[in-house]
Amino acid sequence: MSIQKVQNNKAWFMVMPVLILVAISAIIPLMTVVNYSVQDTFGNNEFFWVGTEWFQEITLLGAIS
Amino acid sequence: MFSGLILAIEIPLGILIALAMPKRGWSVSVCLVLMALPLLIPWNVVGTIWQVFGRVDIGLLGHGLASLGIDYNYTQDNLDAWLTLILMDVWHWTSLVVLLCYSGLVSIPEVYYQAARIDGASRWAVFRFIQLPKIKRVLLIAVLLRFMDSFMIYTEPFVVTGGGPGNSTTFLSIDLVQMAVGQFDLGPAAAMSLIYFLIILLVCWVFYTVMTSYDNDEQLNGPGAQ
Repeated sequence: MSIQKVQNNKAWFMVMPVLILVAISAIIPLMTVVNYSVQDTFGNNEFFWVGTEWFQEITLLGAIS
Repeated sequence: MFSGLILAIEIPLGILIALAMPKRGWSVSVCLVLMALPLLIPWNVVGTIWQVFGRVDIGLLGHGLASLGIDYNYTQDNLDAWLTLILMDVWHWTSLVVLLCYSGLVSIPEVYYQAARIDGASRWAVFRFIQLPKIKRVLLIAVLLRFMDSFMIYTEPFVVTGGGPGNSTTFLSIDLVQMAVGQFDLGPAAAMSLIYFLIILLVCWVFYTVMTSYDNDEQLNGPGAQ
């Protein structure tokens, strides 16, 4: 008698704890840096959008303009 | 440039030491422990060790070179500062390459060497056609790890030279921290760190793709095929 294995994707739930840990330890800090890189602040925890200004400033584009 | 120099020195040196290490007997454990010792030392302690070691007044290296009549001072001369940092990194991290290569070498089955002996292969031929292809995978890991680590190096140069003399050893990471924490320019520092991250990611991807595609070509066409 052969054993019928049921194929499904439930095993992904087994890696959920790792995914959550990776999200907390890597992706969230990375996204925080991304957030800072497109905003500016004058303090008081108020930020405003500057787009790619910082990227232009630190690359050759900033030196040219 | 620092990463290039580090890779050019540490990878061949690591392979050479791994080849010279004994494969059996009590001396294997001794060699492995000796090789692992530098890796066990925290980075800031390594920096402090080399900072004192290189000092002309009290350091063994600095004082020894001065007594030989060599004008060495890593706090005033750019070249000396660079040489000290490279020497320190080689001392600290070649062990990692050695241990990785050694693990690859000991996993090669004895039959390959027996076949090479029957064919009358030279020492170089054994290395080129048996040992090097077999350790290529671990070598890829070693190259990637050392590239990423050396590109991100911060603690050791910060402790030894503080980025000086002048800005000669101010690596990207030191510059980044000065911008973010020193000047509190969070926006430009965040943008620079993202570009830094993308450069490392891109170079590692290129390394990995080139080395694995070469490996696949060899598997399809045999060793040495172009």
